[in-house]
Amino acid sequence: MRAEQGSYEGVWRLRRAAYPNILVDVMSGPDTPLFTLWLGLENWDFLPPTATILDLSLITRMPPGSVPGVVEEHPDAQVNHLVASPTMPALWFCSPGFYEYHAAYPDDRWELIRGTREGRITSIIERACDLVDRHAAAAGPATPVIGQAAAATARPRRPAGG
Amino acid sequence: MAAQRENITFVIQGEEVNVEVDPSRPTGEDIRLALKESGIGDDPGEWKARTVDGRILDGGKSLIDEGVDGTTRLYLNKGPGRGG
Repeated sequence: MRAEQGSYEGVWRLRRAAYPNILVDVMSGPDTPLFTLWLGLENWDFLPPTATILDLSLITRMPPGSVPGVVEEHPDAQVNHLVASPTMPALWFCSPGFYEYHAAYPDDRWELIRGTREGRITSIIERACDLVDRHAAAAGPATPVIGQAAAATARPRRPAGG
Repeated sequence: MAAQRENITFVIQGEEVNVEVDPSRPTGEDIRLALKESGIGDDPGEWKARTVDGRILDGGKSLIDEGVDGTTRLYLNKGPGRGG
């Protein structure tokens, strides 16, 4: 991973790697760090990594609506892979290569990616960088953001008890 | 007159691929070349090229139209696909 870092100068840079955590700054060009991507690899590579986005101070999880995402047109709807829910005020990636996606779509198995180029840590980091609209994030906050729609439409949890 | 050529470095899933391209052709053709060179295949369908700052290139436009020259590295990755 450290060896491949040079190819990604200006896209991401490794900040810290100490098992089971990897911290990577997501960039929009060589001098523009935007956020920090946290990857948890406790069960790597039996399971894919879990991930969220922190601010650059590493103190705060970036809340829903604070990070612009890439919105793709799909035959059925607009699709975004950077999501959140009201019950967990942090962003996660619902996309192949991430734990939350494979847990939600068990028929699209992690084992089909594991050990391939697509399942390498660098490819997963690059995927996360691609799902964030880095160009818009660098331009400023006055852009449509992702996470809000998912948060607004997510079903509230059923109350406990009964 | 010979067509203009540019050497472009594509980064594909962690590996660098250098491809000589005609910058006046649609970028989709350059993506096809890079994928073929990397051994992945030659169907550019779901693949997208991005600049270092995250701008997605339009496969129908040329590198000249997109303001990309040989000093720029391009990053190829598949579209998001399923999920969300």
